[in-house]
Formats: sequence, C-alpha cells, structure tokens
Amino acid sequence: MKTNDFLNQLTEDLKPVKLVKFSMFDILKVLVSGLFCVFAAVFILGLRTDINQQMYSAKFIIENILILSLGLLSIIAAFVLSVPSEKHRLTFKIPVIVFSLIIFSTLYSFLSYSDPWLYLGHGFSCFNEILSISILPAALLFYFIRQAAALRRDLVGGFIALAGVSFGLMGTQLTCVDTTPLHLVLWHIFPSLFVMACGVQIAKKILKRI
Amino acid sequence: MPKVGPAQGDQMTPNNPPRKIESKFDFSSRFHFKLVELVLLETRTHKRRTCLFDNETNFKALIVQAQAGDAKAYKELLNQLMMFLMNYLKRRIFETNDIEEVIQEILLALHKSMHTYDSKKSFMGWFMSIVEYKITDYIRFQQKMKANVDIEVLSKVFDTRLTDSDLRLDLEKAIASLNSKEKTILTELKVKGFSVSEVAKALNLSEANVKVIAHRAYLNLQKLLGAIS
Repeated sequence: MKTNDFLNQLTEDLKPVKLVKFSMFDILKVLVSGLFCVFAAVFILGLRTDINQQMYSAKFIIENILILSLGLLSIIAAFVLSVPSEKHRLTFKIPVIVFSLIIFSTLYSFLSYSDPWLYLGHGFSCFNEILSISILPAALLFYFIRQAAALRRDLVGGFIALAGVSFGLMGTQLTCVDTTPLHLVLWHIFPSLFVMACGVQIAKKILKRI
Repeated sequence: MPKVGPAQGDQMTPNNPPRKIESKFDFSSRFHFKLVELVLLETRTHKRRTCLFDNETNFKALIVQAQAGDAKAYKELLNQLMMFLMNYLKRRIFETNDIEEVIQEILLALHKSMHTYDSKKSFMGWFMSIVEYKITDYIRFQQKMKANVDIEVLSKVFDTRLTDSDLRLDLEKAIASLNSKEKTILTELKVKGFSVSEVAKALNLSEANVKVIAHRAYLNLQKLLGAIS
C-alpha cells in the first residue's frame, strides 16, 4: 500500500483518545496489593519460629530491605517501560542489580555455611508460596500496563514478574525457617527465575504489540 | 587555540612581522582530514537536531489536537513526520524498497500508542523511542531472514530438482497445510492481490493482526518448503 493511502486510512481511523497516565497512586496500589498478599500468607502459614532471633540479624534486615526495594523498583521500571519515552537506563538497571545482589547474598551463604550441601529441605511449599503471592500484584500490574503501549513487551513482562516475585520472596523470608543455602537456591531463587520466565512469556501473549 | 596575527599588544613593524598561523593540526595528514570531516558531520547533525527541536512545539501542538480527535491536525502531523522519516531512514536503512514499509510500521505504532503521549514531556523523545524500536525490529528481522537463507542449499535445490510444476505442487501442498486463517490471508494478499487494509476490513481484523498472521504464514511456509526440499 502506498504511504499516502496509508496516511489517509490512519486519519480516517482517528478517534479521540483517552490518555493513559500512571501516577504514584498506581504504584502504591500495586505495592499495597503485594504487601496484602504477604500478610495473608503470614496469617495463613504463620510467622517462622525463629523470627525473634532473625529480627536482630543484620543479614535478615538487609535482605528484607533489598527485597522490598526490589519490589518497588520493579513496579516503577514496569510502569516506565510501558510507555514509549526517553528512558533512563538506570530505571531498569537498578532492579536488576538489586536482584543480582539478592542472588549473590544467597550464593555467598554457600561459603559461610558449614554443610551447605547436606540438607535439601522440603521446599515445594516455598515454591507454592512464591507463586501464589506473586499472582495478585503481577495481575494488577498486567491490568494497568495492558492499557499502555509497551515497546519491549518481554522486558516489561520480566519486571512485572520480578515485582510479583519480590513479594513472594518477602513472604518466604517471613514464613520459611529453612536457611540452608541449597534450599534457598533450589526453592527460593529458581522458582523466582521460573516465575520471571513465565512473566516474559505471558507478557508476549497479553500485552498489545505496537 | 591557533593564534592568528600578532599577539595582543604587539605592534606590526618590519622587525616584528605577523606571526604565522600556529595550528596544532596538520591538515595534510589523513587522520586530521578525517577529524575535520567528523566535526563537520557533527555540526550538520547538530543543525538537523536543532531543526527538529524547532519543530518540537509544532509537533506537540498537532498531536495534542490529534488526541482530541482533530483529523486535519493528525494528517498534518503524519505528513510532517513522514517527511522527517524519509530523510532519517535514508541514513539508517540501505534497502530503499524497505523504507516505505518501515515508515508505515512506525506511523502505525504511533497511531496505536498515541494515547500514551504526555504533552508535558518531549514529543521527539517519545517519537524517537518508537522509531528506534521499529528500526531495531526491522534490522533483527532482516538478520533473521539472512540467516535463514543458505545460498548453497538454494542453488542446489534450483539446480537439481525443481521444475515449475514441481514448485507449484510443493507450494500448493505447503499452503494446504497452513491453518485456515493463515491460508485465507496469504491467498487474499498474495494470490488475489488485495492490500493489507482491504483484507483486514474483509476479515474484521486489525491491520497489524493481518500483518502478524501473514508473517507467521510466511515463516511456516518457509519451514514447510524447507522440509519438502
């Protein structure tokens, strides 16, 4: 088709548009929904038995702060990437760095733990927990972002899933008493990566291609 | 900085002749010539950019009107952007036949994502992110296509096996094994010669959807024909 005809057709198709703008309020909504899921999981499964000791552990506190900031940064990155604009690379580099730090801290515990390979633990419940907690915030984010026009759907999907996963990880931090490195890698980190991969695939299907 | 003529406070007398031009650059050397060329190119690019930013307010006004449903403003915006893209893509895409297609893709993307433009932000920043994405998409597609075509295999196939009737039979067989939607769209586009928009209207689909299905059909055909050969 000739470009001029194409332009005519686009002009004929023109309708007044309803503008899509994301605000802090939308970010807050997703954050609250994620925290609600975490509290619901804690309410159902109960707090870990050693929570009183963990509350005084610097590692536990730092990890939780990192996870919470990962959630917040991923939500922001997903919203920013969902509309075409001049992107600041840091917007989507920082969440990746934070997630890498969390993985690194888990892997580092292999060095500090005396028998890291000895005990695998029953971790399927952790996998379930991560998955079930991440569904609501991720679904909410998908709902918001579907109205926008994401150029990199895979990247947006990855960040949406990462946001969901961060709440899942926070839930497991508060409920799972098992701190053996192998358990953490197999039942916390791998499921997170799996959920992220699912997020990428779902985004490719759900989000509109522009 | 090169110094020209006498320094400040110097007087030009026969005993104190004007100083020669002292340039750090030796323009005779190839490297410095290149450097000057680069500087000139950058200046030209800067001018072009400045020109674009001059248009920024105009584009902004037009797209705000278009968002409100003003078809005239929208047409004007599309025309201006098309002119800009023509020049811009000439330097980025060397297949001249593809430029028009890429322009259409970009303008279609603009049409679909117009509701995400915030008039408080830069129009060119918003628009150029779409342009860059579409160019990358095009380059990725080209590379994929190039990677798929193995010239040696192709020449062997043409040398040894195919007469026209064989080719026709293979094609028919391959088309028959596509799903009904792909088959219909492929036939409408390539056999009957309808345009994408006409097919989209007839099948009650969006143009983008038709393009995607057609693309999928081509890939499937490619796979099937590869398997047959």
